[in-house]
Amino acid sequence: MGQIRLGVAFVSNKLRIVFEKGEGIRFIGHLDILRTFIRGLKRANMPVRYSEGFNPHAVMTFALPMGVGVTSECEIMDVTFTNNIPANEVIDGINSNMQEGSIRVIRAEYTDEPMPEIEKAEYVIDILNDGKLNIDDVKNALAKTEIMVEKKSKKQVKQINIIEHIFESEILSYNENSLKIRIVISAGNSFNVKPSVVISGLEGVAETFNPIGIKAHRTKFLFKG
Amino acid sequence: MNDISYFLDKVEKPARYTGGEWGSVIKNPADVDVRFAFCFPDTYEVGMSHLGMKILYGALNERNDTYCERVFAPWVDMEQQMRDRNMPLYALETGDAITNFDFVAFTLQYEMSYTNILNMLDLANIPLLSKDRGENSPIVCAGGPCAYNPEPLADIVDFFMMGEGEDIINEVVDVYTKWKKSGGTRLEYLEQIVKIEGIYVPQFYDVAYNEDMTISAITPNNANAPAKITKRIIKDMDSTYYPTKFIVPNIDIVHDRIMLEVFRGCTRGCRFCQAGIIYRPVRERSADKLLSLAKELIENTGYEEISLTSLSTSDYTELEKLCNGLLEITKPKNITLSLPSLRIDNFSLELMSKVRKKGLTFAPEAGTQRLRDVINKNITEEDIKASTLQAFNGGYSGVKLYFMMGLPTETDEDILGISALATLVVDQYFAVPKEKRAKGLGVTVSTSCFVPKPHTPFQWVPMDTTQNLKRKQKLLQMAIKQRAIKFNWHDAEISYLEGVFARGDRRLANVLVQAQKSGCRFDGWSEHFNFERWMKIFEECNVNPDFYVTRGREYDEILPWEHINVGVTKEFLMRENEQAIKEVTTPQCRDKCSACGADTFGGGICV
Repeated sequence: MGQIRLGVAFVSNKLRIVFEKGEGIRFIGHLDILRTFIRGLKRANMPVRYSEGFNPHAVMTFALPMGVGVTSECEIMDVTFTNNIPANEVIDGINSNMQEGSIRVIRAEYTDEPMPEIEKAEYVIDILNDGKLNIDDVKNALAKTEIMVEKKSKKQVKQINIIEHIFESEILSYNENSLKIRIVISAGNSFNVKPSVVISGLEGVAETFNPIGIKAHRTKFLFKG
Repeated sequence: MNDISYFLDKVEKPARYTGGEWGSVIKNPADVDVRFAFCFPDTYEVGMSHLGMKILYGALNERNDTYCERVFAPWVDMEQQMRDRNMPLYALETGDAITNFDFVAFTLQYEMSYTNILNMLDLANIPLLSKDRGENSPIVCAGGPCAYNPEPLADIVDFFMMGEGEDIINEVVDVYTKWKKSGGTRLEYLEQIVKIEGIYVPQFYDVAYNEDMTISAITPNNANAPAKITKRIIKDMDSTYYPTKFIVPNIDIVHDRIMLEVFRGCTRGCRFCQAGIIYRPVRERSADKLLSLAKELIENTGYEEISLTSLSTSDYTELEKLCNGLLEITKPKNITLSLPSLRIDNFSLELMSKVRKKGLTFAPEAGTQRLRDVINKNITEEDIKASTLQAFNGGYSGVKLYFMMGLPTETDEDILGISALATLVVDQYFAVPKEKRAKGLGVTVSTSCFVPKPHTPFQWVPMDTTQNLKRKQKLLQMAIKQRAIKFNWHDAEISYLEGVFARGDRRLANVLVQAQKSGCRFDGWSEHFNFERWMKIFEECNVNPDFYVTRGREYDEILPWEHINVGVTKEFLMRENEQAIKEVTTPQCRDKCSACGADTFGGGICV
């Protein structure tokens, strides 16, 4: 699927799109993003391929579901068209049919490669702190070898050591009641850690670190292999 | 720190509060003269499904001098967050507090949303009572079907717009911009707009009472105010404004699709139905106009579903042309055409085989032919029998039946008739050979409680008591024996409160103020409705709710909405009520004109 034979070369109709999830749609979930995308593609008159069968649906795949409350500048989606239209036309078509601050396509290219497997993701997180923050508390927490937190999935609640899933961390800025931090943590379809879980883990051990509001932004994916 | 992004993760469905949808209008507030808050006193998902808001939002934002924004009632969790942070109610487009907007306008769809109106005013730091608002407060106005008895909100709302809003809303804004430049007083503005047909300014009327608490007179106290306020209608549905863009929500809402309004009004004349009276006369949009609207809306919204909306859609004279035209447009684009419940005939069955199969719905409203004649619901047992048999033959297996309880003259026999009718539908299913019928028969019987509404032939009748309604619900529950029949009923206590405000008068303002203070909101949502709390408030305010609900009125009693003219005459309503008692039906408008009075508007079917 997604390929037609043209002379000797394969031309794929599968377009890989890298897009931004903006502040305006920070609080919508994965299914809502999917629907917003489909409607934008319809408005842009893009020839999306629909599955055969009783309830045809648009042929689209996302690299990783996007959580409610998180914005991003690195999301990846594959969409298959019925014919190959220039990628820049697709980019312009989608971007002019999305509300400012919602979805914005950064780049797109046709491919017949399967969706790459994600291993880690980088986030920049803005945190509002309740009371006076002593930054050393956060630094000490990050230097620990073990912080156990609860990780909830649909089926179960597991105890995990969150430190094992933090690969990089950097304090970007701070003052008495706010903190901006960059982290690289486990991500992907096999094992995914939400940035909010990391923050609550740190909160549990850092005395003056009492977040009352967080805004997470995904900046980069790192892939397996 | 009121950047909502930091705390919205603490509330349910945070995207209700962010705006930012495709089609939402972005303007620079500095570029406009008028900031207009269109407030829907219920949740985002309910309000965003409302067609009237889409129309008026679009119409107002066509104006360069006006910025119309949306406001919904925050759910209780969000309200708590806002109150904890001293955050005033804000408009979705700009996030600006509506406290200093020019207009704060509410649409009145349902009596049970009245406490939400007060709560929204309170959250916006706007005084609840009209008399307490200063020169800098917004003008608080309202419209919509419940405005036809504006009296319970008379002390709260500065002015009401009666009837269809497309024209009148522009007229009040026109006057406002001139008045604002002239630097006039609030009172002067109200005196200017009260000259516009359809505008009701409650403070320009005095209401006097008899010793028995009934009204003795409703008298204008301002020289500019008319003795009677006549509703406005749009005469030509093809030339009036209809949006070609809808806001496309980012989250699921109740009706998440393109809605095409095919006509207004209804010819049928069911005697319990307020919509059937207040939207008279029937006025259709042409199929050609609707098809061109459909094309534009599909292109502009990207919606995957389109539906038709009106009362009794089967009565649309160009239904076949419209549906065939719509199928031509939607099929190649993978768009679903979903149809409301149509009267079953060969055309509709063929049509329904082409669209996605949904359940079949009938609203017999009453269980026996006698009672259906009383309410003038012209659907017979034969109709239901034949239609459901045909539908089961056509592969349907689910049927929903809607009824009311507590209708005038109703006896237990009528209640048991509901069960008999449902059983008859089950029998039709089994009359279809096993190999031909679809599996999984499901018949759903839903009963609501009849609430007498203003401007209907039943506006004088007592509402059934809560106790009796509950007894009837139980009676029906016991009578329904078949497993294939599922029975749902509506909370009789919520209906009782609806009854209070439906036919209430301006003495209820204090009750509403106290209710808001006591924490009443989202009363239409059973999880928030607290009957005992309401009864306590009535007692504290020294108001006997039975006076409004279970008391019958004489024809010569001055009703709280006596000064509101919907075009239909009192004589017609009285005649219809008398015919009801005699169990005599009245033909629908297209068969014979019953001289209801709506021809005074000179529009639609009456011309």
